[in-house]
Amino acid sequence: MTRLQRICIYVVLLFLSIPALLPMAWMISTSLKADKQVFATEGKAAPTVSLRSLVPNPVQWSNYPEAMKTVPFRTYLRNTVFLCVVNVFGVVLSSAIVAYGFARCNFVGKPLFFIAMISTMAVPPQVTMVPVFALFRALGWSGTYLPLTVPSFFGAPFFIFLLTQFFRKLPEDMAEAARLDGATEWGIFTRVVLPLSRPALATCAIFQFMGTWNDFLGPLLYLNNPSSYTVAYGLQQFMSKNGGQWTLLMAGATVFTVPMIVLFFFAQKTFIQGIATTGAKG
Amino acid sequence: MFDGSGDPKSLGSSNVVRRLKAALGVVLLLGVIAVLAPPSDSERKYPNRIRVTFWHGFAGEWQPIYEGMADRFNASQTKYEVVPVSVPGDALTMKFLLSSAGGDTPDLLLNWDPILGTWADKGLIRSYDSVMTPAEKKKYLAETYPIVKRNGMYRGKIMALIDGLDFWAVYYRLDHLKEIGLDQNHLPKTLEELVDMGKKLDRFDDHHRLRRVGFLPQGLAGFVPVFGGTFNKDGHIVVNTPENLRAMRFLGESSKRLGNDNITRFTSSLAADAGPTMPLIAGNYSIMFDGEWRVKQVAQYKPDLPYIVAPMPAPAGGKPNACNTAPNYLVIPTAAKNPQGAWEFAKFCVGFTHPEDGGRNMAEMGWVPDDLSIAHSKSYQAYLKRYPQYKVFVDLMTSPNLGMFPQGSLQKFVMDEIQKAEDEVVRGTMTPEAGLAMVEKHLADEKQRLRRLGMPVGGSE
Repeated sequence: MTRLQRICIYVVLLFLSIPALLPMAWMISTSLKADKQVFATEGKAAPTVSLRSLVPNPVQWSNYPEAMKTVPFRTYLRNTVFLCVVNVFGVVLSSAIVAYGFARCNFVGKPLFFIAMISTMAVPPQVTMVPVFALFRALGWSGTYLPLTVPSFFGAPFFIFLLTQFFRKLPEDMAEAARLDGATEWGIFTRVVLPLSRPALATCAIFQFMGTWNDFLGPLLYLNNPSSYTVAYGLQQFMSKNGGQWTLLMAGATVFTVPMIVLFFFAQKTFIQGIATTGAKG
Repeated sequence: MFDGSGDPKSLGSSNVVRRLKAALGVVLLLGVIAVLAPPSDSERKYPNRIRVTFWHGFAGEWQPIYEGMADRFNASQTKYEVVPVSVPGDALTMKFLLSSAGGDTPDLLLNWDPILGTWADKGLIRSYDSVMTPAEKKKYLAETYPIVKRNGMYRGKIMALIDGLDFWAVYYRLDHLKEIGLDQNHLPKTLEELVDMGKKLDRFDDHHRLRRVGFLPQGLAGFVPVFGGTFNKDGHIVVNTPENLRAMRFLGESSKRLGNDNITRFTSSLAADAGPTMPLIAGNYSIMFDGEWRVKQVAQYKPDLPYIVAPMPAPAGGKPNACNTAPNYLVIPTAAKNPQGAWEFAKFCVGFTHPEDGGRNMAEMGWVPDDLSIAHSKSYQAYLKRYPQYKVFVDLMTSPNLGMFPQGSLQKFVMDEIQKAEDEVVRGTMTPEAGLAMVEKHLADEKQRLRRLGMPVGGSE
């Protein structure tokens, strides 16, 4: 491929990425503007979005501390990170164990159990919302983090499916060799299979992290104490208060989005590798 | 085992190192969790008192006001402790419905969605009659403003206390009026005059696109009382009446005059509805039919804005001092654990027994009081002195020409249908007559469907 061809491809790709990047650029740009810069004011015609209009002038950094003052963001952040850590740990561990069973162990009714597990993915959470809520309430867990963490220690169907596919592709010879050396099934799992499955495990971890970070419904249903609210839940509150203050709203939205973007940039390679090797890509 | 050396000693030490690493990892993880772990749920200042859980949808600057109210209530007596919980407004209804299904509701809830009839008919909320003493009920019926009672009562029972009732009046930009040689002493006396004034204030660019709108009537519910119409008659929802039809025609004609595409282009270009870029401040409209909350917003974001507020002038055959009303409902769920505590706090919020407290609460939230004693309280009078434009709304409270949204189980359904019909009419794709006939037909179909399913139709039916 010549240099010119490469440049052309990049130009086309850049052009195609505009619809995805423009809202984000507008969000960041607005978060750094004064209120009067966001929209046309008195007597002027409707503003048009241009590259020039995206550049804040002057840059108003104070929107960020101002936005952070509106809600206890640090508390929300701590709560969210806590939930993310616990859920990522729980879901990766439990899903890997279950997936190993489906991939490598033989037991009566395995295909049936696998189909049953897969079919749970087709049930929308709204259908099970009420009975699950009633169950957790009966257990006395309402108002605590338990409904938001404990289920992750029982595996997630999508991750189990993803890891099962991955584990099935690992060469059986390595497990056989370990067995010959006297390794137990648990030893093979922890010392052979898991180390070889890092990309798939990382993919599950990232998916779970994103899911927990963005989860609004779970905290809405189960949390009743503002000091235990999460960022996604807090952002919703922030929006209901700052509906008209676009600059603060966008500053809050940027702060909410940045960790996800940073995470994706750092884990991009592992993420794509994990999806590609598990055959989960479309 | 798999370190490749094959030496048993090396194998043993390698195992120990691995286990140590694993243990260290677990300890680190537990440490991170311990550091991040939120404090236990002990928000209570008075753990020995009866807990009254109160859910509301106010956040941001309003949240501390409600928390302050709860603090003052908690300090005012020794039996109950109100624990206020701010829930995102958009999700409050869903959270409540789910908590009702799970049997774990709050004791008191504040909601501004059109829920009263639906929740009452489904048995989700209890009547205040069960927690009021006969003397309290007598006082409520005797002293509360009629429009507040009409909004809070359903099928003859007090189902909600009204903590803030929204009213609409006309906001005029005096600097715009000056452009056409008018001032606050020359406000229109009829709706027709108002429309003519609005026409003179419209501004277009070279392509005949709207740059500023003089007056743009929108929202059928807001204009129905102005034309002498109603959505509620003898416990039934009524839609297709001559007065309501006139209101719908008025909206259709206004849209036709400016051109629906032109209006859509203009309204799409407007900034946020609230905050420092709201249309009244930004000067997008010269005259607006808007709610009482704008007074405080203007004072906050542009205190020197030259404007005046006045009731909507009546059209020929219409009614003066008329507007629609929209309430914030304070309701006690049927499954409330402490309904009596909920009632005590609800009383405190609206100032039912302590007008001075009520006056302060209403002033802090920027609301109109529920009865005259609160309106006359020192704290509320001080508020009116600070925001004199607000008096227009307080005076409206006693008007006999105030309207309400359709009441009953089908309230939301009808409001959605009315909105659809209005959209069609202002787009010019349906006549006002056909629009209202369509709503009425859909309403009849829905009632029939509900009856077939054995579900409550609402109202007196």
